[in-house]
Amino acid sequence: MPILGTVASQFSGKPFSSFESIQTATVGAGGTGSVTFSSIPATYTHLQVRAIVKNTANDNEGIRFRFNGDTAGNYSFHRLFGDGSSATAYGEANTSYAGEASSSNSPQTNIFSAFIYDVLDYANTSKYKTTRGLSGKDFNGSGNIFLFSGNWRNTAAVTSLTILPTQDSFAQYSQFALYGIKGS
Amino acid sequence: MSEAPTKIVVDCSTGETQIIPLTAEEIIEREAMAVAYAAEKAAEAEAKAAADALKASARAKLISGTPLTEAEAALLVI
Repeated sequence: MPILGTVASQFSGKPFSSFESIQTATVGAGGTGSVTFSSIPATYTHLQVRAIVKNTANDNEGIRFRFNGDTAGNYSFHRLFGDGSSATAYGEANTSYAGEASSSNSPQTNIFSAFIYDVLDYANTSKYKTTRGLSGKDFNGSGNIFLFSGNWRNTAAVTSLTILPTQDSFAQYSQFALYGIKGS
Repeated sequence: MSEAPTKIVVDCSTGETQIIPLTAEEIIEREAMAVAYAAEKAAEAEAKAAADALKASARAKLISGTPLTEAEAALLVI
Protein backbone atom coordinates (compact mmCIF):
# COMPACT_ATOMS: atom_id res chain seq x y z
CA MET A 1 0.00 0.00 0.00
CA PRO A 2 1.53 3.34 -0.97
CA ILE A 3 2.50 5.70 1.79
CA LEU A 4 1.36 9.22 1.07
CA GLY A 5 4.77 10.76 1.66
CA THR A 6 6.42 8.21 -0.61
CA VAL A 7 3.96 8.89 -3.40
CA ALA A 8 4.30 12.62 -3.01
CA SER A 9 8.06 12.37 -3.17
CA GLN A 10 7.83 10.75 -6.60
CA PHE A 11 6.66 13.99 -8.19
CA SER A 12 9.58 15.76 -9.72
CA GLY A 13 8.03 19.18 -10.04
CA LYS A 14 7.69 18.82 -13.82
CA PRO A 15 4.33 19.86 -15.24
CA PHE A 16 1.80 17.04 -15.65
CA SER A 17 1.63 16.89 -19.43
CA SER A 18 -0.05 13.67 -20.55
CA PHE A 19 -2.92 15.65 -22.10
CA GLU A 20 -1.78 18.45 -24.38
CA SER A 21 -3.55 20.94 -26.59
CA ILE A 22 -2.45 20.55 -30.22
CA GLN A 23 -4.61 23.13 -32.02
CA THR A 24 -8.01 24.78 -31.77
CA ALA A 25 -10.28 26.02 -34.56
CA THR A 26 -13.05 28.53 -33.99
CA VAL A 27 -15.60 29.15 -36.72
CA GLY A 28 -15.95 32.75 -37.84
CA ALA A 29 -18.80 34.71 -39.37
CA GLY A 30 -20.35 32.93 -42.32
CA GLY A 31 -19.72 29.47 -40.91
CA THR A 32 -17.63 26.72 -42.44
CA GLY A 33 -18.31 23.57 -44.44
CA SER A 34 -15.75 21.51 -42.54
CA VAL A 35 -12.83 21.70 -40.15
CA THR A 36 -9.61 19.79 -40.86
CA PHE A 37 -6.64 19.35 -38.58
CA SER A 38 -3.73 18.49 -40.88
CA SER A 39 -0.09 17.48 -40.26
CA ILE A 40 -1.05 15.95 -36.90
CA PRO A 41 2.17 14.95 -35.11
CA ALA A 42 2.64 11.23 -34.41
CA THR A 43 4.07 11.92 -30.97
CA TYR A 44 1.01 11.03 -28.91
CA THR A 45 -0.74 7.75 -28.16
CA HIS A 46 -4.31 8.91 -28.68
CA LEU A 47 -6.11 11.95 -30.06
CA GLN A 48 -9.14 13.61 -28.58
CA VAL A 49 -11.37 16.32 -30.02
CA ARG A 50 -13.55 18.35 -27.67
CA ALA A 51 -16.03 20.64 -29.35
CA ILE A 52 -19.06 22.84 -28.96
CA VAL A 53 -21.04 22.98 -32.15
CA LYS A 54 -24.03 24.53 -33.84
CA ASN A 55 -25.21 23.81 -37.38
CA THR A 56 -26.74 26.36 -39.74
CA ALA A 57 -29.36 23.82 -40.88
CA ASN A 58 -32.90 23.80 -39.50
CA ASP A 59 -32.97 20.04 -38.99
CA ASN A 60 -31.22 16.80 -40.00
CA GLU A 61 -28.04 18.13 -38.48
CA GLY A 62 -25.22 15.83 -37.45
CA ILE A 63 -21.45 15.69 -37.31
CA ARG A 64 -19.15 13.22 -39.04
CA PHE A 65 -15.47 12.34 -38.98
CA ARG A 66 -12.92 11.30 -41.60
CA PHE A 67 -9.20 10.59 -41.71
CA ASN A 68 -6.41 11.45 -44.13
CA GLY A 69 -8.86 12.75 -46.73
CA ASP A 70 -10.31 9.28 -47.34
CA THR A 71 -13.85 9.73 -48.67
CA ALA A 72 -14.32 6.10 -49.74
CA GLY A 73 -16.40 3.46 -47.96
CA ASN A 74 -13.60 2.34 -45.65
CA TYR A 75 -15.35 3.22 -42.42
CA SER A 76 -18.09 1.82 -40.23
CA PHE A 77 -19.88 3.05 -37.15
CA HIS A 78 -22.57 2.32 -34.58
CA ARG A 79 -24.44 4.70 -32.39
CA LEU A 80 -26.90 4.60 -29.53
CA PHE A 81 -29.38 7.44 -29.50
CA GLY A 82 -31.54 8.58 -26.60
CA ASP A 83 -33.94 11.49 -26.40
CA GLY A 84 -35.17 11.19 -22.83
CA SER A 85 -38.13 8.97 -23.64
CA SER A 86 -36.77 6.27 -25.89
CA ALA A 87 -33.54 4.81 -27.17
CA THR A 88 -32.63 3.51 -30.59
CA ALA A 89 -29.55 1.96 -32.11
CA TYR A 90 -28.17 2.48 -35.59
CA GLY A 91 -25.12 1.44 -37.54
CA GLU A 92 -23.58 1.57 -41.01
CA ALA A 93 -20.94 -0.60 -42.66
CA ASN A 94 -18.73 0.41 -45.58
CA THR A 95 -19.60 4.04 -45.10
CA SER A 96 -17.52 7.17 -45.68
CA TYR A 97 -17.15 8.42 -42.12
CA ALA A 98 -16.09 7.06 -38.73
CA GLY A 99 -18.75 8.10 -36.28
CA GLU A 100 -21.66 10.45 -36.04
CA ALA A 101 -22.24 13.03 -33.32
CA SER A 102 -25.21 15.13 -32.35
CA SER A 103 -25.34 18.80 -33.30
CA SER A 104 -27.37 21.83 -32.31
CA ASN A 105 -29.17 23.56 -35.16
CA SER A 106 -30.16 26.92 -36.54
CA PRO A 107 -33.47 27.47 -34.70
CA GLN A 108 -31.67 27.12 -31.35
CA THR A 109 -30.46 30.62 -30.61
CA ASN A 110 -27.21 30.53 -28.68
CA ILE A 111 -27.56 26.81 -27.81
CA PHE A 112 -24.61 24.66 -28.82
CA SER A 113 -24.18 20.92 -28.62
CA ALA A 114 -21.04 19.26 -27.29
CA PHE A 115 -19.01 16.23 -28.23
CA ILE A 116 -15.88 14.41 -27.19
CA TYR A 117 -14.28 12.17 -29.80
CA ASP A 118 -11.34 9.82 -29.25
CA VAL A 119 -9.11 8.35 -31.95
CA LEU A 120 -7.27 5.51 -30.29
CA ASP A 121 -3.71 4.50 -31.14
CA TYR A 122 -3.93 6.81 -34.15
CA ALA A 123 -0.27 6.56 -35.13
CA ASN A 124 0.03 2.77 -34.88
CA THR A 125 0.60 1.39 -38.38
CA SER A 126 -0.26 -2.20 -37.39
CA LYS A 127 -3.92 -1.56 -36.62
CA TYR A 128 -7.08 -0.28 -38.19
CA LYS A 129 -8.18 2.83 -36.34
CA THR A 130 -10.83 2.67 -33.64
CA THR A 131 -12.85 5.65 -32.49
CA ARG A 132 -15.43 6.37 -29.86
CA GLY A 133 -17.38 9.39 -28.83
CA LEU A 134 -20.19 10.89 -26.87
CA SER A 135 -22.24 13.93 -27.71
CA GLY A 136 -25.39 15.67 -26.71
CA LYS A 137 -27.58 18.70 -26.97
CA ASP A 138 -30.26 20.08 -24.69
CA PHE A 139 -32.93 22.50 -25.83
CA ASN A 140 -34.75 22.88 -22.48
CA GLY A 141 -37.56 20.49 -23.27
CA SER A 142 -36.01 18.42 -26.01
CA GLY A 143 -32.59 17.17 -26.94
CA ASN A 144 -30.65 13.97 -27.27
CA ILE A 145 -27.48 12.08 -26.57
CA PHE A 146 -25.38 9.96 -28.92
CA LEU A 147 -22.90 7.33 -27.83
CA PHE A 148 -20.96 6.16 -30.85
CA SER A 149 -18.07 4.07 -32.02
CA GLY A 150 -16.36 3.80 -35.37
CA ASN A 151 -13.63 2.15 -37.33
CA TRP A 152 -11.39 3.15 -40.22
CA ARG A 153 -10.11 0.13 -42.07
CA ASN A 154 -6.66 1.49 -42.78
CA THR A 155 -3.36 0.89 -41.00
CA ALA A 156 -1.88 4.26 -41.95
CA ALA A 157 -1.12 6.69 -39.18
CA VAL A 158 -3.79 9.35 -38.89
CA THR A 159 -2.19 12.60 -39.99
CA SER A 160 -5.35 14.48 -40.84
CA LEU A 161 -8.78 14.58 -39.21
CA THR A 162 -11.76 16.21 -40.89
CA ILE A 163 -14.98 17.06 -39.06
CA LEU A 164 -17.93 17.86 -41.24
CA PRO A 165 -21.63 18.59 -40.84
CA THR A 166 -24.19 16.26 -42.40
CA GLN A 167 -25.57 19.28 -44.21
CA ASP A 168 -25.08 23.03 -44.48
CA SER A 169 -22.32 24.47 -42.29
CA PHE A 170 -20.96 24.73 -38.80
CA ALA A 171 -22.19 28.04 -37.41
CA GLN A 172 -20.12 30.91 -36.10
CA TYR A 173 -18.62 30.39 -32.64
CA SER A 174 -18.51 26.60 -33.04
CA GLN A 175 -15.18 25.51 -31.62
CA PHE A 176 -13.09 22.39 -32.14
CA ALA A 177 -10.08 21.64 -29.96
CA LEU A 178 -7.66 18.84 -30.78
CA TYR A 179 -5.67 17.27 -27.95
CA GLY A 180 -2.94 14.68 -27.80
CA ILE A 181 -2.84 12.11 -25.04
CA LYS A 182 0.47 10.53 -24.05
CA GLY A 183 1.01 7.16 -22.39
CA SER A 184 -1.21 4.07 -22.16
CA MET B 1 -25.97 35.41 -54.54
CA SER B 2 -24.74 33.54 -51.46
CA GLU B 3 -21.06 33.18 -50.72
CA ALA B 4 -19.28 29.98 -51.69
CA PRO B 5 -18.98 27.59 -48.74
CA THR B 6 -15.56 27.32 -47.21
CA LYS B 7 -13.56 24.95 -45.06
CA ILE B 8 -11.14 25.58 -42.23
CA VAL B 9 -7.79 23.80 -42.40
CA VAL B 10 -5.51 23.98 -39.38
CA ASP B 11 -1.92 22.87 -39.96
CA CYS B 12 -0.88 21.33 -36.66
CA SER B 13 2.83 21.56 -37.53
CA THR B 14 2.79 25.32 -38.04
CA GLY B 15 -0.37 26.47 -36.28
CA GLU B 16 -1.46 28.18 -39.49
CA THR B 17 -5.21 28.32 -40.10
CA GLN B 18 -6.52 28.67 -43.63
CA ILE B 19 -10.06 29.33 -44.82
CA ILE B 20 -10.40 27.78 -48.26
CA PRO B 21 -13.40 27.62 -50.63
CA LEU B 22 -14.81 24.11 -51.04
CA THR B 23 -14.01 22.48 -54.36
CA ALA B 24 -16.78 21.60 -56.81
CA GLU B 25 -16.34 17.93 -55.87
CA GLU B 26 -16.66 18.73 -52.19
CA ILE B 27 -19.83 20.72 -52.78
CA ILE B 28 -21.37 17.86 -54.77
CA GLU B 29 -20.37 15.35 -52.11
CA ARG B 30 -21.75 17.57 -49.36
CA GLU B 31 -25.09 17.92 -51.17
CA ALA B 32 -25.28 14.15 -51.66
CA MET B 33 -24.49 13.60 -48.00
CA ALA B 34 -27.31 15.96 -46.97
CA VAL B 35 -29.82 14.05 -49.12
CA ALA B 36 -28.60 10.69 -47.81
CA TYR B 37 -28.68 11.88 -44.21
CA ALA B 38 -32.24 13.19 -44.55
CA ALA B 39 -33.29 9.80 -45.94
CA GLU B 40 -31.44 8.02 -43.15
CA LYS B 41 -33.15 10.15 -40.49
CA ALA B 42 -36.57 9.61 -42.10
CA ALA B 43 -36.03 5.84 -42.16
CA GLU B 44 -34.87 5.92 -38.57
CA ALA B 45 -37.95 7.93 -37.50
CA GLU B 46 -40.19 5.51 -39.36
CA ALA B 47 -38.59 2.51 -37.66
CA LYS B 48 -38.88 4.17 -34.27
CA ALA B 49 -42.58 4.97 -34.85
CA ALA B 50 -43.23 1.36 -35.87
CA ALA B 51 -41.41 0.04 -32.79
CA ASP B 52 -43.29 2.46 -30.53
CA ALA B 53 -46.61 1.33 -32.01
CA LEU B 54 -45.67 -2.32 -31.57
CA LYS B 55 -44.64 -1.66 -27.98
CA ALA B 56 -47.93 0.12 -27.22
CA SER B 57 -49.87 -2.75 -28.76
CA ALA B 58 -47.90 -5.32 -26.77
CA ARG B 59 -48.41 -3.38 -23.55
CA ALA B 60 -52.17 -3.16 -24.12
CA LYS B 61 -52.36 -6.89 -24.86
CA LEU B 62 -50.43 -7.74 -21.72
CA ILE B 63 -52.83 -5.68 -19.63
CA SER B 64 -55.91 -7.19 -21.25
CA GLY B 65 -54.53 -10.73 -21.27
CA THR B 66 -54.64 -11.03 -25.05
CA PRO B 67 -51.97 -13.23 -26.70
CA LEU B 68 -49.04 -11.31 -28.19
CA THR B 69 -47.89 -11.66 -31.75
CA GLU B 70 -44.38 -12.97 -32.30
CA ALA B 71 -43.16 -9.48 -33.23
CA GLU B 72 -44.64 -8.02 -30.05
CA ALA B 73 -43.09 -10.73 -27.92
CA ALA B 74 -39.73 -10.26 -29.60
CA LEU B 75 -39.83 -6.56 -28.82
CA LEU B 76 -40.48 -7.17 -25.13
CA VAL B 77 -38.25 -10.20 -24.55
CA ILE B 78 -34.70 -9.86 -25.84
